[in-house]
Amino acid sequence: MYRIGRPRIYTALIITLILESTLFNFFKIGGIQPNFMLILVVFVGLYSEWGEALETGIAAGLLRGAFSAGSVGINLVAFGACALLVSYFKNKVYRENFLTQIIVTLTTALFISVFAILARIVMKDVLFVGIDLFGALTRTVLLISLYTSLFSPPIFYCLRALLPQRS
Amino acid sequence: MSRNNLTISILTAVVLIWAVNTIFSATRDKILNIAKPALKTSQNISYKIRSVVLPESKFSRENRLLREQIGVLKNRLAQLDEIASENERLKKLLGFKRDLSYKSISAKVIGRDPSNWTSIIYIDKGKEDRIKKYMAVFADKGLIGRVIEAGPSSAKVMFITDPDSSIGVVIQRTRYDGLLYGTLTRQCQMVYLSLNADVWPGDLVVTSGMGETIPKGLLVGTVEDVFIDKSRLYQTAIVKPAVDFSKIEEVLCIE
Repeated sequence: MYRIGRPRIYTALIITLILESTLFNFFKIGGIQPNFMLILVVFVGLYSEWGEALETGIAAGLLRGAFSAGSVGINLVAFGACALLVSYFKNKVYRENFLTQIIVTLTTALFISVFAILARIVMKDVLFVGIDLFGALTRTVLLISLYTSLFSPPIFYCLRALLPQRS
Repeated sequence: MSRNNLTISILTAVVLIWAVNTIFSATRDKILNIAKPALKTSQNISYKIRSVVLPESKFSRENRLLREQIGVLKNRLAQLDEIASENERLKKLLGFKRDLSYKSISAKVIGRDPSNWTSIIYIDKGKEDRIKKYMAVFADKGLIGRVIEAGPSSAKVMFITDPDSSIGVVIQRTRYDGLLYGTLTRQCQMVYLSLNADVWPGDLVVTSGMGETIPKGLLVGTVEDVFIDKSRLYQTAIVKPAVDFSKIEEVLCIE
């Protein structure tokens, strides 16, 4: 069974969160920023055993929630579910392939975006008036997911060097 | 997955969300405080890298400064118009007097919420610097939002473009009032405008001062489009905020 190790994963999570909140604002295009935390969770999901992936997902969700204004629990469940999903399918895909990495990240990014919107609509009574909200949201969700997935191969490459597996 | 398993999963998720929210709501402001030094350092590095990677030419710097000055003057003009129209109204009502000036606390932006579904920044001032929850936050050109969480020495500010944000506003020219909401698509919408309200693209939108947490007369933005709501009971206006939210580095919190 392969593991990456708690200290390295938690350090990576904290550094990612701080960089996402500050330095990585460089990557914002039209107000949209890639979800680097999700890429890290997907990486751990693909390269580590399911328990460690779930723990990483939950920790990522908690950290994201703590630094945000919305519900902490939504992030926790969304990231946790993503980690479990990736872990479940990891043996069915060839994880070293760029295309696989992009598709897996794209799928999880779509899942997490749709989950976040639905949860906010249900829990926060988000306003629906006038504009073509469905069309606008679809475009935003797709753009965020595509943008995030395109970053996954180079980040996976760096993470493989920084977070090697241990048996 | 069977129907029973799906039901159990959904129920577990709901209970987990509720439990985590309850436990975390009391401690969340302190977590940001712990991360403040790291955020501040990282943000300073980010500004330095930006100045190296994207150096400003003499002309673009001059252009930016002039644009900033225009923003400040526009805001001052909106305030003066507000005072003038208020004066007019008060003259009619006799004997009332009001002061639009306010005290403010300046703060630096030390980070931004990376989530794509919320519009929040972190500032380097908190309760120790007299920052309180619900304080109005202002940039050079207009209102940007309000404080939603104040820790000991840092705070979170929610932009007016966030879907959870709602503030009372009026059309400056005609005094028709409504509520300004953010949306998931990062636009602002002024809703509940009466059907006979005289609103046109280009009209300035300022705060109404209702609710007493946000002072009256702060510039919010400009009307871009007006249409009748699907319910046919109200009009809705799309409002372009006066501030470019991607370039905020310093803010003023209004006491």
